[in-house]
Amino acid sequence: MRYPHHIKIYKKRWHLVVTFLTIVLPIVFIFVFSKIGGISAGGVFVDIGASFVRVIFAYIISVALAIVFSLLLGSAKAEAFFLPLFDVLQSFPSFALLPIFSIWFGVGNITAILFLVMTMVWPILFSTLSSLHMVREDLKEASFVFGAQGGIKKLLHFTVPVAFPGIITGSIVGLGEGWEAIVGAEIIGISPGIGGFLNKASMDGNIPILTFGIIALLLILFSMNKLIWLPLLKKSHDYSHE
Amino acid sequence: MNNQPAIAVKNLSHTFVTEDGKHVEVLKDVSFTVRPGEFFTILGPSGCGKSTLLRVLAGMIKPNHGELLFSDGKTSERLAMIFQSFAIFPWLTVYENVEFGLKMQNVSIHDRRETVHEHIKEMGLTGFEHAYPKDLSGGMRQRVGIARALALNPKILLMDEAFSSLDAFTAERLRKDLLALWSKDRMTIVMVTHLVDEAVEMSDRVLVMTPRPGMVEATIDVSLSRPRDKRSKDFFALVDRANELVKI
Repeated sequence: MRYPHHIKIYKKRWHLVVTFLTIVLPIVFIFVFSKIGGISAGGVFVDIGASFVRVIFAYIISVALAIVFSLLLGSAKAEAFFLPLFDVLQSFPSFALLPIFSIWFGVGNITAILFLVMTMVWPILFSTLSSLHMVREDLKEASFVFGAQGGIKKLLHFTVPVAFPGIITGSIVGLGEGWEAIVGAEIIGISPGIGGFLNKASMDGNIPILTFGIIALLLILFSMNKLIWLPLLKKSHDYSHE
Repeated sequence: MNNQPAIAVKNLSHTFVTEDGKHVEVLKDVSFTVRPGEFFTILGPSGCGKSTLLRVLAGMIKPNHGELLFSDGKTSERLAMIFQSFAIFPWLTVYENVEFGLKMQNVSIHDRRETVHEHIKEMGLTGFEHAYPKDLSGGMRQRVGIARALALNPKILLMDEAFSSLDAFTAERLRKDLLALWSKDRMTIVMVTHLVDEAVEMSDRVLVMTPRPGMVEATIDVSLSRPRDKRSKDFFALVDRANELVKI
């Protein structure tokens, strides 16, 4: 099977160098700075790691939900019913759900992840749907004539490539909103997490440590973008060409 | 066996319902037959329903009324199409585009390779196997479109204004290439066009359609010998006759 397709940018030699630097630099930065700042590097890793794992978990659930929903919304009838509903849910502030989730599930990871999914799933869903909607009619016809009809064949060889650009742009927006939401939730009380770390430094009036936390978070997000999302975004431009 | 038509269309009518509930009659009582190995052209002004007719033949549109019969049944197993907008998949390379139909038919990867390379070579695309459509000119993209269709070794080849979005030189060249391939393989071709010259240059028979709703105005036999001299008296006479029949 030749699927999924090769991504050219990952094959370039300088990409290895970039990969190395983007992974190693944040780690070195955290070690060096926690040494200088006199705090435990382990604690910093636990905080950032906890936030990171929550976001990744919630992202995987969100992207799976978004893809399933957008495929189910393929028919005009289902869409006429669900789209207005999703539109309302999308504009509903998910922070408003945080108190009720906390009562039901406690102040912990389940609450954090549910809250994150409620934040992240919408941009991915709407972006995927718009990719599916904007598909060129002639490509649809060509896929039909050349045998990608019904079921798994159509899904793998037509629907997924068509949805791909939407999934990628939606993921980038969704993860952005997800990070924003998780830091907020952690400042309010979910711990451990980078949000709590920043909040504590702020309470202590320790500006160097606060700055360090912000830069560490920035470096990690920058690395993720450089390593994963930029190449995928570039690839998705090929997919939606014309 | 030889007298059996490749395609028989009987009393075909089709009406579209627009979003605001209006009924638009696009095809009205269209009947014709296409002989095996024939180059058959449907000629008409834009909006006459000729593209709809082609999509009915391709099985994409189910007509409201009428019958459609191929020599091998209600639908044709080996049918391929070439599009005005090329319609090659932007997410696949040239090789993968040509391979697409065979892959959908579950031809083994080993058997595919030979066929794909053969058609890439035939269409002059050697060296571009791993290029993506965005890196190709319009002419090259249509070459990919033609290779993708021919890779299926079609019995019936449908062409929807296949040369209309190319510059005049490229279009002329591709017409010649396609005629050469047809004279070798002799598949049945149904072409849709609004260009009278193109219809007379390429076809054995030309079906002229009326403006909407599309009906059969007349069928012209083009019995000129091939390759055709586009500056000959006979050629002009046929072009004139077709021009008179096409009403706008």
